Amino acid sequence: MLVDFPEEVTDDSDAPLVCTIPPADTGDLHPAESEARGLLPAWRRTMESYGRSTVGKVVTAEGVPRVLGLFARVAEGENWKEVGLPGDPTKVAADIRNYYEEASLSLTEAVPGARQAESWFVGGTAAGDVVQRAGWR
Amino acid sequence: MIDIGDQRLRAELANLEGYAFDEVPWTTPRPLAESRVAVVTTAGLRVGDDADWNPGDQSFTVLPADRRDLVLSHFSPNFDRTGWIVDPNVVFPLDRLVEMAAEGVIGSVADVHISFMGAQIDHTLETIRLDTGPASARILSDDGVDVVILTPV
Repeated sequence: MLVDFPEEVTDDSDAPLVCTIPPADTGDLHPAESEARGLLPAWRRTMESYGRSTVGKVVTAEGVPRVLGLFARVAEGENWKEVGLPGDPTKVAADIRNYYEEASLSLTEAVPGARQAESWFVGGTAAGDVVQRAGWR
Repeated sequence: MIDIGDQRLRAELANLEGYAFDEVPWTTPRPLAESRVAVVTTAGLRVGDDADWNPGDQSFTVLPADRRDLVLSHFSPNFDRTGWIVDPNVVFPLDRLVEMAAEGVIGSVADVHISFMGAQIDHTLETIRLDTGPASARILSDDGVDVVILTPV
């Protein structure tokens, strides 16, 4: 260690982002799948604004709602290996989360602080609830 | 995947024991205004359609300075990517280096930069220490790099 700087940089990182989730088709779909469908226009606006995305390790943005339906089945008791996930569950979960966080950029006026979008995803969305419950199974 | 939160994550990692070298070699660098500078990041960047990063991968990717089709493909889902989406310079500050070179603060910007992937399961980083670290340093050295900026992501 050459020099130890004692300053600590703090921000609102643990305060969830506040944004309204657009309404979506509420037919027979699981609420998380429906929610994800409703976020697709916002995700596309972010893609158009910034020209980059981290979604696509396994599924495209358009494929996120469908895999959320699969995660919901796992959360409700089905076996991981039997629902037909298209790849590594960790990478699919990353695609879901990244999709939500990128969509959130078009639903808020300010740029979120580090991990604010994460806190919103985990605590404020049906998808975050589903992914976490599936992860514990 | 659980909500670890930034503050909780920092608290958990504060006491993580890393590898300690027996000796730390010291090289007196050139003055910054004469130095060629590269970025070394642990963000798990890749260029275009390069292979994705997987857990435990201690390899590295070479990032040519003229390629801007970079993808942040760190494997971990516990990783907020919004900063990268809004401004890649928070991870890979190449635009800032170019500005500093134009202002004469640094001598020049390297033609190549390096990405590793952080959040390694093997905290001893044996492959990086003994193989990929020296190999990447050779690439930077061949480009005449004097100084690197490490962006731990």
